Amino acid sequence: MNAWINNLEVLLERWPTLASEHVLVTVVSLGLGVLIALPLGIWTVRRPRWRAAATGVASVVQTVPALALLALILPVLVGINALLMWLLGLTDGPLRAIGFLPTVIALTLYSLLPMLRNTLAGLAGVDPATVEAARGVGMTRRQVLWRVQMPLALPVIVAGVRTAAVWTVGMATLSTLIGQPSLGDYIITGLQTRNTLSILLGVVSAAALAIALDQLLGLMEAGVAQRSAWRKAVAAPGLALIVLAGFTPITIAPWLDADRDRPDAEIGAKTFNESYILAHLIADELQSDFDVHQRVGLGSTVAYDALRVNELDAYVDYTGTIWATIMKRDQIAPADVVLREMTQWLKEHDGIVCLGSLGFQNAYALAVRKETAEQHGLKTISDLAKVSDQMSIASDPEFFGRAEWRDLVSTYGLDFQQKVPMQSTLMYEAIAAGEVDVITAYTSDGRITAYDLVTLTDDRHVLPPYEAVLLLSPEAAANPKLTALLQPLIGAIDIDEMRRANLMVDIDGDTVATAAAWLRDQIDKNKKTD
Amino acid sequence: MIQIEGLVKRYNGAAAVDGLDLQIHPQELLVLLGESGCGKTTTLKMINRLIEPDAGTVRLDGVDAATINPVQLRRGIGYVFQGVGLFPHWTVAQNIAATPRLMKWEKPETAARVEELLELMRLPRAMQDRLPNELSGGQRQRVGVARALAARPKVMLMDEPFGALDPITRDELQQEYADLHVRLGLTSVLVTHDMTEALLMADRVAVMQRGRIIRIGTPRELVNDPREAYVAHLIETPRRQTIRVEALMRADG
Repeated sequence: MNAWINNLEVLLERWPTLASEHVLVTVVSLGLGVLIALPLGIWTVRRPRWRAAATGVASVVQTVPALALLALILPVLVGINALLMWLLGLTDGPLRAIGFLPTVIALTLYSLLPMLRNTLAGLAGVDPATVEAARGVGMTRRQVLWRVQMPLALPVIVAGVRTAAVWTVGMATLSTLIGQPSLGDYIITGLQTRNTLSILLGVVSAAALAIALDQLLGLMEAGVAQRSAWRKAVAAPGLALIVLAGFTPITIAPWLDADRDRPDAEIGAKTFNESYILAHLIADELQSDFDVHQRVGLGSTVAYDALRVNELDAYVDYTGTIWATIMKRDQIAPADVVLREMTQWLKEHDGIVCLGSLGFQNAYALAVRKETAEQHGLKTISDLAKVSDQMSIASDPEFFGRAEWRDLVSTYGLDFQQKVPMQSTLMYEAIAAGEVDVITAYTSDGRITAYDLVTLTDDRHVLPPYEAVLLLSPEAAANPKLTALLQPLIGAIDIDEMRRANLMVDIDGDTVATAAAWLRDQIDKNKKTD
Repeated sequence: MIQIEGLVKRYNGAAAVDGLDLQIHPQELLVLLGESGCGKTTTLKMINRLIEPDAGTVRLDGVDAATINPVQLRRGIGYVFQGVGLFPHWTVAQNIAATPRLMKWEKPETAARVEELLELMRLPRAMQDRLPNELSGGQRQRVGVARALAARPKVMLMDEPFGALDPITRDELQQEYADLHVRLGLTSVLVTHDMTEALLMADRVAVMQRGRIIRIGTPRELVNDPREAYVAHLIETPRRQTIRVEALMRADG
């Protein structure tokens, strides 16, 4: 019970920030959506060709999965930035490609369809005889629109705004992935750390916001339509309160850039715990001289793209990932070659500086129980190959489809009795319980230690190296203070320490901050002993 | 005085109104009579330019309507719509005050006019805050007439104003309107397909067929000398009904 309350307390610390940011992007996007959809609907209702074009575009936008739309905005903004820089001769892109701007653009686009469609339907649904009567009593076209058509279409239009409001609140939870804090932070980190309370808190908060907006808009509409003073008196302050909640000092501060004494530093993290811990560690290192902001939960290539255009100053990636997804190399090379070539390539292509390896790898490895290793004398994958026909292997389904798996099988001549696809969290429990003999693990995963597993050496170098490397944006690399502060992290973390830190968050339910602080203590201790 | 010359309106090549000539005298109540699709409503709507003619002219007191701003033109002419066309989101008072408000009358003046019209149309004063859907059909029609009269027009255009009413209410409103027409010195053009209504209300009846006027005259002239077979056919129903009702009344008395 106590742990539960502690957990909630820690989670609630960020609630005002996340809720406020969530409301901000929702309210701004909805507002912009209304400002676009309503005039567009009014203008196109009498122009069938434009109407078809507008609803067509809005429908197509709607079919793009929300996550893809968010991710697509980013390269578009980077492109616009490049164009603006070229046109205006700027050295810096004027638009922020991650965070608030791409989120608002995506949410606004998404909100258009229901509002546009309902504006058109609402206006078309007004009895033509009433419209003619309005002309007949001597109204101008504008007066017909504002005094008769719009008031009569209002319930339908407001229904569209309500639909859009609910969608926008929901979709805003995904904005976390492109660096915009939102209630989605709870959901995404909760999924990662298997913190059900965190997921619940995110879901319940977002749902409550959606319901509140929907009901208040409905009440306001009813108040206007039925000339009901009490409805308006409840709805108007309620809506105002929600809007104001989006414009609190928390959300406004970055715009005002309150902390002018210290330069900003933006640290990125991808969507898994190790990434969160390392981002926190980096942030702690820089705290003394920089106003540090963490952008956690970024989509896989979002972080790299953001670093390239100086939207992020630093984050940790892995050599194998950069090698395959950014450099598009498919042949395997030894770890030192990969690190050297990658460092050179990043500098040449994107001006990104690789400060060096942190000292550990988060690679794929085959792991067995300690007893299994002792019983069969297993140290390498070659050893395993001799007895693989008596064993079963479990892995996440994706790995069995990858080139690494095919290379492993063919190079070592592996021939397992049984192949079991399994979700990665279940995999560890399965091997601990003796249900399978071998699993594919991540080398820095804390559960390797926790379940007393042994990783087997890849003696024929089939699996690509995934060395954790600290990457700096071109601008950050040019900042001697920043590089000096981060230099001590290079080569400072060994695999056991990283496993332990991961374990603290994965299993023990410690916070990312605690794990990062622990890691920092270890680094300091190591230095003293050196 | 309304002078209509060579008025034409085509829809997809087919003429709805086909070279129509008509003179409506000051303070006359003229009924445009015909079956649906004969062009009577189209003609009516071309007088206040709710529909723009393809050819021909409409002159109001000698001024070509095409030269008058259509919005100003409509504010100066009362129009009662088929099916009333009250604004459902406005109260009775707001509906009646529609044109005065568009013409930016002073508020007290508008309010006084609304009360005056409620009284004129024999509607209770308390009704002014009701919405149209809270009224009976007859009450709605009275509000429709009040709205058309609000800005004190000299010309009233009425499109089947009593069509949807029960016979007793219809009769009541027909008589009341005929009285108002005289009392207020209006020039009225009333469209209907009901020959009895035309005969009972009109100073003159213009019978339309296929976009033209085929016979025009006072009710008496039409009854005594229909000339056209179609007109005679139209007269036939009220004539037969009258004879039978008279016979019944005689037998009774």
